[in-house]
Amino acid sequence: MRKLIVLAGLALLAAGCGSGSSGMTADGKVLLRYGLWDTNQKPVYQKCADAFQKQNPNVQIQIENKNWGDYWSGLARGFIADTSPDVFTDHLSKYPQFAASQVIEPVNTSGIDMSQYLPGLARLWKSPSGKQYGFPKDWDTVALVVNEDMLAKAGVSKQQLDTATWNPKDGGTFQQIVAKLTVDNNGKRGDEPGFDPKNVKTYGLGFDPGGLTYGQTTWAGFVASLGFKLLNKNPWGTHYNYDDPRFAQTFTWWRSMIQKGFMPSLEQARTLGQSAAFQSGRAALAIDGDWTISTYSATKGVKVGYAPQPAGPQGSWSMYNGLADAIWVGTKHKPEAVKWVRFLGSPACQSIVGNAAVVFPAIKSEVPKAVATHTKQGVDVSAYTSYIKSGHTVLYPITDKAPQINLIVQPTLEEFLNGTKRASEVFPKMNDQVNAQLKYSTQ
Amino acid sequence: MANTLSPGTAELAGTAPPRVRHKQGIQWGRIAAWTAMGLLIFISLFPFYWMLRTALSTNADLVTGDQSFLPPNPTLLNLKQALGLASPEQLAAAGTQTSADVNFFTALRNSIIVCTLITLGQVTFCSMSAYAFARLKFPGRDKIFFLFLTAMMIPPIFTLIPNFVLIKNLGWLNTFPGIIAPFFLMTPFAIFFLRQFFLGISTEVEEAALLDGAGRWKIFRQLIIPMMAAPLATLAVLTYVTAWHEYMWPLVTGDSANVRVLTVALNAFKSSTPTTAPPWGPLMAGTFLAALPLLIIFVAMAKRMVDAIGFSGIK
Repeated sequence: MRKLIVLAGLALLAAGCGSGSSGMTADGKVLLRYGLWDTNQKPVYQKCADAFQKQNPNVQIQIENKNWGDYWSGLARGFIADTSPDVFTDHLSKYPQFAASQVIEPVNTSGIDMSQYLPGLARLWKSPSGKQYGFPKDWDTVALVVNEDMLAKAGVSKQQLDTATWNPKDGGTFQQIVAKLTVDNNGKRGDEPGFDPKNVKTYGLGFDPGGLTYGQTTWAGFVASLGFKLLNKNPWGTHYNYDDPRFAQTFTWWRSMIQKGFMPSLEQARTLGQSAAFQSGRAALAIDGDWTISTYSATKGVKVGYAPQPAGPQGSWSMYNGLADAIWVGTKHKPEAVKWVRFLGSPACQSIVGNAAVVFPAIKSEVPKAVATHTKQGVDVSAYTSYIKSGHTVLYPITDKAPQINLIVQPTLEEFLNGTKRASEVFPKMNDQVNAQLKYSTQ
Repeated sequence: MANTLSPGTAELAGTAPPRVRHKQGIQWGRIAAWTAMGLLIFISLFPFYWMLRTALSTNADLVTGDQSFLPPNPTLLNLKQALGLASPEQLAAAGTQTSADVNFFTALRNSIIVCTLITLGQVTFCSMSAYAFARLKFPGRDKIFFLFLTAMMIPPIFTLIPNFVLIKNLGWLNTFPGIIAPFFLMTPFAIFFLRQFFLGISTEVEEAALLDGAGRWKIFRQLIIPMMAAPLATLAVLTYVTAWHEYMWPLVTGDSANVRVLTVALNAFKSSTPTTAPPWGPLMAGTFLAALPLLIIFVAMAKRMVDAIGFSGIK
């Protein structure tokens, strides 16, 4: 027994000595840890890191991947435990809170041409006090992903889908197309008599229920085409407009699509996942962002195309979002971290990002490279870039208290989708709760 | 555990005089008991079966909502992925790529290190203190023991933050000592569990040894421990299993690849982007593989554990 205790003690000591973190590599270089969540982007940024290391031989970049589902809680633990990556990919829905709790460093914009980025992107990362919290590195819009084989079988041309119209009353030609694409287990289509909405084999439209609060891949584009704005101003709005009748109409229409059997229910959508449902032929259309193009285009044995979101009274609209890199305040290598972040936002790295075309780079001059790469691979991405040309974009809503607001809105909208309550009973009350949060704003 | 013995005994002792056995009539009580037992076995084992079934299914089949009892297109790809043996191309085709790497064998090694050290530590120190509480006489003994029992009532989540701050200030985050420390010396349950057994040992044996000139330490090592082999083994298995399942503490203190234990490493199969569902197949494959070592330990030790409980009953 005594031997065992001694052994255990020794093992503990040995384990303790083995893993100190000094932030240096074995050969004396500065080790800079860089956090990412998207596995598709890792090879791209590895190339950027290689280029950076060539210029800065004393630095080694170590890319650390985590799943979205674990990434943010991991960062939070890292901030408290002093083990966060030195630099990490930041999201617009998260950075206001990080800035308010002073866990990320503002960046110095001197010497950087902020007009090289696509209009609007850089502004999203600026706090009300005028501090810049990142250089835009990419942008994304949302479009329809189309199973063209199913479209042809339903007797709808791609042209018809590209020019589909939408309104919240009867769903316009878009709803007719979705109905045609929906097939039940008896082979009846959604617009045929005898269609069984409880027994659907292929849904006309997939559904990503993850971020209902801002509806990036659900309601945001539709309601924007009615001229609706969620915030009184963006970024840093101080008043939400969930009580607007246009929002109520749009979201009620969304629920009717589920009730008609044209879209999966919330429960199904959540377990299936939209891209998996599309890839396995359970959904003929999906609404998704450009960061998923490679996933959808890889669908086996199916011709996949992309179409702009259906045009409402004010045209075809999309939410417009972008990422940037943040520097953790606790980094032991601040000068190197700053250098790396500036490099990530520079043409040198964004040209690599453009050529890889996993996402669209934020620098205007590099965007055509991404489009060219997609075209070379036989993918027409004009649906995603169309909004930039037309200016029909709504920026990702940025306000203080986003996490708290999400805790109010997401469950309320889910409950609405599952239930039969009228919009007027639900949304004005929810909107009051949301705006009450902003009364105690910390920014 | 004691319930495993009771249905038969209760039936024998309670209602039925022996002559009932000679009758041809249907033994309703016995049928009911077996049915209840079968149902319980089904309830406990079916989720495990469904985990295995999911692990052997392709992602596409899971998505289409196939509910058949056997996987329609059985595949080993998920198991390969969990073990890190699948190529990125295969995963892309199956639609189950993840952002993070599970590093199964590193995590398995870490789990084994952590659980073994926790088990060794707890069994060693808890048996000593349980013996002290059961046999040694010192002032305030019962009061201290009462304090220990009170500690059993404190939900571990309350001690999470103070423990975390302590470990952080010690500089032990992301090290094995940090993950092990709160469990290494004792848990109130282990002391309570062992003390009950020690109280059951007759004092005469020890008094005889004392007369022969043996010290307390010698009695403990050479007399008590061998007699207590079965309860100690039971405690060891229980501790090992609990440590293996521990998630919250290793997550907050040891989430770097070199010390990450299996439960935490399975986070690699969470949804990889905000708009995708978790890859259920590989997740269940990883969960299955992570549960295997425990199954093996249980099968190997089950008989001893039942013996230990039998022992306590007889004495």
